[in-house]
Amino acid sequence: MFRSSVGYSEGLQELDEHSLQAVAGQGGADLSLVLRLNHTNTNPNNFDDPLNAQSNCVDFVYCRLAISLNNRNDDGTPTGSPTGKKQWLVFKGIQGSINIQEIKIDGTDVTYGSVIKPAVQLSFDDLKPIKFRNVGFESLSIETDTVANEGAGNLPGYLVPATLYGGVGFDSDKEKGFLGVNMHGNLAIDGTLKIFSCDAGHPRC
Amino acid sequence: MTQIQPLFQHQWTRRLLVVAMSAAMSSQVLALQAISDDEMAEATGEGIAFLPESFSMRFNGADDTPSAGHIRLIPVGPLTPTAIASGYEKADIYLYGLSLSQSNQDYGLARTGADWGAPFGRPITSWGTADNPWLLKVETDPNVPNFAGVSNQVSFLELEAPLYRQTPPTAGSAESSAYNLKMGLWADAFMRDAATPENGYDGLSNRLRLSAVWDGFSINGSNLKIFQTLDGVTAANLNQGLSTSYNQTFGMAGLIRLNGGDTQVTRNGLGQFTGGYGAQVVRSAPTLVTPANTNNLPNNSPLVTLTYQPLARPEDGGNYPLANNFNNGDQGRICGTPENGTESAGNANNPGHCLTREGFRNITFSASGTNSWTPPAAKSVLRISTQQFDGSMFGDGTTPALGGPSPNFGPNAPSAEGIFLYGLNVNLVLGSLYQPLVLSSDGANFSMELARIPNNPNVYQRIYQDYSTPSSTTFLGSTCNVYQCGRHPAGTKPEISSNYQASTATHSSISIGSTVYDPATNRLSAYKGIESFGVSFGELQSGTGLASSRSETYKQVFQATRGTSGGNWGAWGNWTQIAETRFNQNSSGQILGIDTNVPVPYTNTLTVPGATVSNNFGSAVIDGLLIQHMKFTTTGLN
Repeated sequence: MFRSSVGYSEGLQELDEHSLQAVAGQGGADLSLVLRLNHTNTNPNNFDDPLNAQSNCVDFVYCRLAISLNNRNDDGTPTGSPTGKKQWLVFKGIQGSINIQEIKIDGTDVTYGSVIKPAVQLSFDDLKPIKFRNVGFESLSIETDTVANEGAGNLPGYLVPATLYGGVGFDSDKEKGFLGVNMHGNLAIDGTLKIFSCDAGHPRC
Repeated sequence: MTQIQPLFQHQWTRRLLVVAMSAAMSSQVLALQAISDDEMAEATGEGIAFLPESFSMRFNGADDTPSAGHIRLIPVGPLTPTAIASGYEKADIYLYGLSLSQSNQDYGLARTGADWGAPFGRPITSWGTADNPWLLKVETDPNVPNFAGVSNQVSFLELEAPLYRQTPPTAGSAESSAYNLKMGLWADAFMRDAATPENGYDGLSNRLRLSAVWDGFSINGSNLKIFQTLDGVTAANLNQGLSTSYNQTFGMAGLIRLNGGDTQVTRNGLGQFTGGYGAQVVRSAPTLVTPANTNNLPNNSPLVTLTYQPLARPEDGGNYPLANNFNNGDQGRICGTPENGTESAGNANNPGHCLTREGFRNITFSASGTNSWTPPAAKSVLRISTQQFDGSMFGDGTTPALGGPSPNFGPNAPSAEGIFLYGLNVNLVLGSLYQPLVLSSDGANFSMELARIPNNPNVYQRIYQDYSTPSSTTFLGSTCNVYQCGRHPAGTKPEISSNYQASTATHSSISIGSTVYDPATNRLSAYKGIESFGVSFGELQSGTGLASSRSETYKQVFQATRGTSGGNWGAWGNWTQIAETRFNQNSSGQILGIDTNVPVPYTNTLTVPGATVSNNFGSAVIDGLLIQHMKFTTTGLN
């Protein structure tokens, strides 16, 4: 959905070639994005409000990211074998808030040799850093399916019920696993990034 | 629960919508047209090139405090009972302030404390060029041996950094900025008590803090490949130490090249330093000590150490131990009086053992002097330090992530603390399409493994080197260093093969400081002369009046003789030089066989070795490192 700055809305209209030719390219578009993954958004108007970016994961089983590589079964047999249960690398407690405040997108030219190539140019401003708030996961573990070759009744490794360490201590409220990662800060990037296609006419491709 | 709120901001005019499209088109502006399926099928994939310009990156705190953004490694999971019994605790690690920029100095110029003491410089003017950008591409290698040596085709996704130039770039040029990077980061590591719930600083103790700044390096020439590994590990070759977990799984291979630049020294035909990456040594005139020589010494000279004297009782002038009383006091008198043949010399029965004594003199030549030692311009410095100024009291145990102040690692003048690595070049080959890096697990523990090279010539001949024939076409391996990194494959475009280094080497090389490079054999070794530098504890600075000396001790063998007088022995004559001892056993039970080795002609040709400043540990090289098999595994997880 597009928001108009003028106060009335208009449907997109096709431009004919004559009108297009009369157009002169000007300043590009700005892109900004707020992403919240398993985080509160109590105050949508202020990304940095302390009430935001808190984990609101109620059912730990559904706050996960899991990766399974080919030919990784618990008995060493290849994928698809009737005896092997798939293994998953599970990132538990995955969460994060990311605010990409402004990336400018332009068109520009890149010249190499006698070739002039059109390119997309992304521009960054270090005064508008990309904000990371509690981005990461709480623990990492290897989990295995319950039934070989994902047969009937299989509970995939990434849906293994959440088991907390319990007791008293640092691990008491954390899911079984090892090593968590948490990123928090403002990544100030400055400069431009030109992106262009590299075909047989380029020395490197 | 996930919420994504895209906020597209733009001016709602017709002009802007067109920009992205017009950039992709030729000068004639046309409306977008749908491509038919036939036309799409003919389009071949191309690479995507990236060119960052005026680029810099710094991870700041959430309140924009410089270099205070953190990545925390959270120590989840129990400790083993053995670890707890030994007093170990968890390690809570915060990595702060990852930053990448360009050094404030131009490429090739000297770095000062303002450079290696600051984590952030200025933007990278151009990280690569339009001719030599970053690349993300998919390629197919048609001739890759699997683990059984059978050739196959492998398609892989490759991320390539800009290639490394064969000749250094011009200082100050845009292209040189890629060879002039600056990286900074710092870290806090705490011991964390497992039994204490997490709450602020509760349970944390013993903070370890360090900062690292590398000023003046490049990552040009590096690449990363991602692909599916081939098969070939079967019961037939399992006993070679291969694993079926290598077959057809996610594989990676990489070439990591972090180079500070050329660090070789030049030497003349005599092996003497003539220039290059070494210190300037100015020597004072040496002081030579050459003892006066003489072939004749008085018979009581204290300079001569006795090695042999005739075997006689003390009252007869010897020190031979007495035997039991025999023949009315005659015992022990081997050379008692000159009679019964003991007075003769020169025949087999009586070689003169009662008429001769022998000894030797030590003659020590020495050369000593002083010199000054001045390091050259430091073009690339990696400093790992821990000393702080302002911002935080040393040892107060706080950390910015928990609200503490940010430290200032600025260098202390005049001599900064830290471990300094000058001229570090790291060229690390991590696998290939036929020796992949794979990830696996035994169900609880996680491992990262660089596959073992199979015992199959189709595979190992691509990796091993023939050191006596560097251009061998049987053994295709070679070592990657800052000067070269393999041979360009057949079919490489001439603009690439004549201007940039290849990426096909198989052996790694790591060097710190002054090196000696032999281009014929592509061997790198550490330079061992006094001008060498590389690793120092504390900033390397000039020194004057550094004293050193060298000495050599020679032996001069002497002999003295006596005659007879009346029925008694005569007095000993003077000592005269002989070539070697003749009587090789003295009365102390030592067996001595000594030769005179005083130099002829008798001149002192020693040179002063020279000295370096006391915190200079010299250079180091690890050259030709091949990873035959490597596996990292976590332990203790269940």
